[in-house]
Amino acid sequence: MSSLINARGLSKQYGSLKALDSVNFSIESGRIVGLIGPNGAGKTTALKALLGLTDFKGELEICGLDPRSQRHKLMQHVSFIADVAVLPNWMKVKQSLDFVEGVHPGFNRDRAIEMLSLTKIPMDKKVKQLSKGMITQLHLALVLAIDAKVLVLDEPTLGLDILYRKAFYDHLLNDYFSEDKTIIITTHQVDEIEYLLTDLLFINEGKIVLDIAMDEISEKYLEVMVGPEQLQQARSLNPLTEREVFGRHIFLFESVDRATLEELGEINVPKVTDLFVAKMKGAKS
Amino acid sequence: MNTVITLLKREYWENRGSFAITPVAIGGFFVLVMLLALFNTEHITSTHGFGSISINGISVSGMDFLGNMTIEFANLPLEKRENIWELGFYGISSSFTLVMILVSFIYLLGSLYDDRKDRSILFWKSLPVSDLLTVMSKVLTVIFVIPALFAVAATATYLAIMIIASIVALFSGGSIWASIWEPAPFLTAPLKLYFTYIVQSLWAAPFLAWLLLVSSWTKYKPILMATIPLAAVSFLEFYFYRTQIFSEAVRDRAFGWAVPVDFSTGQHLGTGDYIMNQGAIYDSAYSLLELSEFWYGLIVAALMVAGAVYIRRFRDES
Repeated sequence: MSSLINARGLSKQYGSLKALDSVNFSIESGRIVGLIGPNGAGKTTALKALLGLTDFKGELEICGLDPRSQRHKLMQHVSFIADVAVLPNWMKVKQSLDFVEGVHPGFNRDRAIEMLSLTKIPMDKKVKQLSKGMITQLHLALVLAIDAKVLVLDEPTLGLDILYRKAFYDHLLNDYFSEDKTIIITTHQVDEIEYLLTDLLFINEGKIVLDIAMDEISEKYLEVMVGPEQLQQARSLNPLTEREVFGRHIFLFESVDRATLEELGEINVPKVTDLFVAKMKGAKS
Repeated sequence: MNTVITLLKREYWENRGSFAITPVAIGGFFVLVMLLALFNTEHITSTHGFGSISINGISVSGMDFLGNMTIEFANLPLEKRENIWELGFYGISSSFTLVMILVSFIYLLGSLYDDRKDRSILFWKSLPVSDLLTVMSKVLTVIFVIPALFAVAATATYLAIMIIASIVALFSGGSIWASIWEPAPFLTAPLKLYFTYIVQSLWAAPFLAWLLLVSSWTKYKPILMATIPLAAVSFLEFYFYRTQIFSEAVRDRAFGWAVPVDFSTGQHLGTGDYIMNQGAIYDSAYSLLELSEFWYGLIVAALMVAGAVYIRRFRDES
């Protein structure tokens, strides 16, 4: 399988702040990647670079195109919702469909209308007359009706209620996603999308701190619930983190032999959030 | 092609109020004034002095006056009748022109700034439209689309006035053909008007492109950022060199947009004679092509438009 997105030595500096510090990663098609990092980690800068919205140093290729000079061609294959993207207030719902249909060869109007019919959005209203949640729903309907190779979702469900969020992710997985598509999602609610993801990319202070496929996590990271008598032994194995829940200690280990850990106690595959916390701590120390 | 049409539609949707409703309102205003003048009774007009004409001390209503006039008017030589109608049309279209320039001025200043300010730019940028095409859609809008809409509204106003005048003439027994439909240049006047609009825009292109450039670049009040540098450079030039080459160039182009330039010489025709000279712009427009300043202006304008496209590429946060 060939890489759809390739970044080598990707750097971006704002004044003295290194938003991206010589980052390397590649993403293959047919993956759903969670791009996860704390605020100010460089997520948005990375996405902007991918989408041709900002200049950068280093090499970056997406669908064989350079986003800096070929953004308009790239956008035929890539669609995105940025967390700060706002639909223009003056536009009517119908006009937004007309516009995207007019400029995007891969837009399927019927599909967008079908998605809108599940909402309460009226076609003849202007965006400024819609509620915040409705605007997001409209935006998602427009974007998901585009047949793109890469879909970038930056905090896509901000401001939506749980029911719609659930429906959205189900739709994304069951109806939208396919083998020849790639989805990149950033969100602060990792728990919600954990089951969707095939890959994880953790980013912190402009650097990639973890780049792993979801099914490789269990080979490399294990969580052990340790009783009081084996605490010393567990600590001597250099755990990434140790936390206490109801009097029991939970250790997170990286690349420690499974058999060794089994002697210490009950083994689990860590949740993404716990892994995230561990990795962020590691980066700081 | 589909993309270009969609982009132009988008400009129209966003600015329907100023592009379409405004010119219709101006036309409506003319028709209303004419109707008021016709139907004002003596009683009202004697207090307002509007809509009636006093002849030999006897006040008559506008209806009677116009009715009588059409009879008198039909006896004038054709050339004279045509001239009078033409001047009347110029008088009407000059209102459209001035408002159109104001509309275009505001439009250009906001064209690459508003979407950065309201942050919808990321939505526009998420679609496969190049920055060149986006900027060109603004250029096409200001040179061709806005003038077309205003010219159409002006034409509709001409026709409405001719129809009203015809009804009046019908009742007063004047010759509708000889006084109205034969002399009134209702086919040529709109075409001349549209042509003039385009020529004047091209003459003013450096100024238009400057507005576009400021709009793409500024992070703060475009109107100030567009005017202050021009004033500052003019001032500095005068202060250090005691010359006014820059300020005169700005005046020629900026005001040349609104006020006719005799393109055979590049000279202004004077603001006072605007209506009378509207025909002169049309008549001299072809000699524009021989004027080297015109071509320099277009080159300068093209460079500034290119600058706007370049800035647009990465100017994504306001």
